[in-house]
Amino acid sequence: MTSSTLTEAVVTGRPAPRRPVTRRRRPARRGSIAPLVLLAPAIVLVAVFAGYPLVRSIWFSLNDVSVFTGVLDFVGFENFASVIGTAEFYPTLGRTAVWTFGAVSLQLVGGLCLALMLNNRFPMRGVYRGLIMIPWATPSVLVALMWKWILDPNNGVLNQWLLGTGIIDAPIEFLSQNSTALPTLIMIDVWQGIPLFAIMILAALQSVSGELKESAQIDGCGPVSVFRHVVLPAILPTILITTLLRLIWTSNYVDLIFILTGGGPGTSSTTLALESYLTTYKASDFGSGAAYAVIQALFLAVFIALYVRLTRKDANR
Amino acid sequence: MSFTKRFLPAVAILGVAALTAGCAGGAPSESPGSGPVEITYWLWQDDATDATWTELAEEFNSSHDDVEVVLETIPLDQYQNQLVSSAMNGTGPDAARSKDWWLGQFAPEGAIADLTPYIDGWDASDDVVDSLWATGELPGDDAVYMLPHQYTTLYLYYRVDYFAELGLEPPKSQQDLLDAAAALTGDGRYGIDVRGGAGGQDQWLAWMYAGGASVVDDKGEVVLDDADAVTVNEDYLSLVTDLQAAPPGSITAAFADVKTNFVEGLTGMMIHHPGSLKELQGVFGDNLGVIPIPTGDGKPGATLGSMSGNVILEGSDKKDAAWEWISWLSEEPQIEKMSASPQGQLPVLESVISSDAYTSDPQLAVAVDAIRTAKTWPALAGVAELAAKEWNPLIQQAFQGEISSQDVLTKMADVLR
Repeated sequence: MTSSTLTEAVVTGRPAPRRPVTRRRRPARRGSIAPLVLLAPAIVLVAVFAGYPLVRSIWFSLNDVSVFTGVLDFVGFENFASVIGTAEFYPTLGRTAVWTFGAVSLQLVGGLCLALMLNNRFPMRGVYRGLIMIPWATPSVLVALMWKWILDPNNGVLNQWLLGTGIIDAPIEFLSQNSTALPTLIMIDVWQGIPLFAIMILAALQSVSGELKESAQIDGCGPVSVFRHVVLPAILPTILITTLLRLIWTSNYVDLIFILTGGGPGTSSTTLALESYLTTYKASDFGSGAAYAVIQALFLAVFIALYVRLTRKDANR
Repeated sequence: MSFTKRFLPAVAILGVAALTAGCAGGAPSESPGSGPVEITYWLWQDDATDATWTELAEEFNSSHDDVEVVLETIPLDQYQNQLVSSAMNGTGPDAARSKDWWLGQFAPEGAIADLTPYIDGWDASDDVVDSLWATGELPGDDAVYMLPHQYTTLYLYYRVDYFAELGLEPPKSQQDLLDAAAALTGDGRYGIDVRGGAGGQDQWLAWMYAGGASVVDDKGEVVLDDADAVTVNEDYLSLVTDLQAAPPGSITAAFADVKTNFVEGLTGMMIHHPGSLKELQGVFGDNLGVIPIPTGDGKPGATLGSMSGNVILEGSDKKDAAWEWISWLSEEPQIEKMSASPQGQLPVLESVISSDAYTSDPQLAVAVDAIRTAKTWPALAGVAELAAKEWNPLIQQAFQGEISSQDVLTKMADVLR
């Protein structure tokens, strides 16, 4: 018995719990280069493909960048003051929040419902489980073009159907009106993103102990109580991690918006990530474009910190 | 020494070496006296299925012992980004296809070479339509930075049968066009698409030029927001705001939408250039009409011209070889071949323009006749930003009545100033 377990036994008056005997690995000899050598390729890859662009972007955001000569003129935080000072900055920030939280929360609800359905037994369940991944597996450009055709006010099948059934008497300009452009984009992203949530949650659902659920039912829990007190706690870590990842991905996601609306009409569907792209590559203002990107990264750092915290807890469990 | 100790460092060194080798792919330097000089040429293709560019490169390489050109095709919507990025990183091509409205961004920054010394010694320079040299110049500067290659001018298509049905004459003035658009609108049909989406700035500027507006005056001062321009712009906006003569979705429509609407009979008029002429003649036959873009007073006026030319990157150390390639492209046989190809535009040489191919079709002649009076986007530094980033949201806000004609033009002019 070690000194700590002995103390515990004395204080509680109960025999100390037996700790599992584990064979301790011999620690790596100090000065061994083997771990560094094994990690080197990964470190080099991360440094080249993630570290360097990140540092370069931050440096660009602090400089006035001549796009052709690459000459940098250090301006401190002027680029940040300039982009935050524009009349469009806070509305763009607000739209980014609506886009990100709107899309991800609806994906979560839809994915959870779908996962619960797919967790039941029914004929051809495996086929349906495979089919629901199609939206997620389809390239974004194809998704955008497909929805562009569906939503077209003059020739799109949705408007044709709505007009044909008499539900509307004039076509809806889903992507050409301020009031509908962003909500329409959110719905398309929800359609595309639900399968990921569904599959992740389904995997977690399948690991929930059937005995626990049965015990809860025997103890008088109804379906809602079983879900709330047994199933939900078990799948919560998966939900949280998936949600955090989707929040990060969705806020950075510009393909769909760029192809379908270009941020319009006007600026009604412009997000921070899209504004960063347009400022950098269409206006050739690398300094301000990088400032937008750094501001976005600062907001995302909160989610990244939460993600790291959650995954570390998970790993230590 | 154990196997691991010997093996791991070797693997690591090989891995790092492989990575760094992959990252260090700089342009090979010119090797004197060892075969032809290899040059890289960037282009976009308006029709990716057309082999004309490849055929021209093969023809050039087989007929030139001293230079070998390698084509690199980049999609148009990524082209400008990549050219800017490559110029910045020093990884650009030796020569590249370029649009006239990028010059104001590239030339003042020293990214592209002054071609004047080469042009002065070029035998074919006298054959280039004189007015087109200006498309390669900066305002107030006689130096030529882009060699003319393929040009186009914008005009108006209209449905002859629709106009006959309503007893309308083809419009000569912009007021005639507004009246015709209003008359055509009804029963699921509309007058004309305003194309507020991608690429719509060219159609809009053609209307502005035809109406008598200018982007810059003779001194090079930006006058896009003067009183005349505000009035002409108001008329354009009125197609949506007052007349509701544009189909649903028109304020965000790109060319594909506009063409579909015209081909399917939803609209009675469309502004475009000869790039779509053969296809539309095939669809409509005698029911297709082509006229110059109506002007403010109904008399002949200007339209927008757009040049796709060739530039040499200042960073290239093979400028002479690059010139050999781009000047060869602008000689008569090659211009003839390119202009006659599926992605061809109007030729830039007098000798080709005057040939039967460009004078016998009266509809094509509308575009050819406009070559000498058409005006391009001025080569100002802000034009690329206005055309690629700011024009769409601003004009869309104006179409929705969120900002006035005066305000939208002032904001556009501020980008150029």
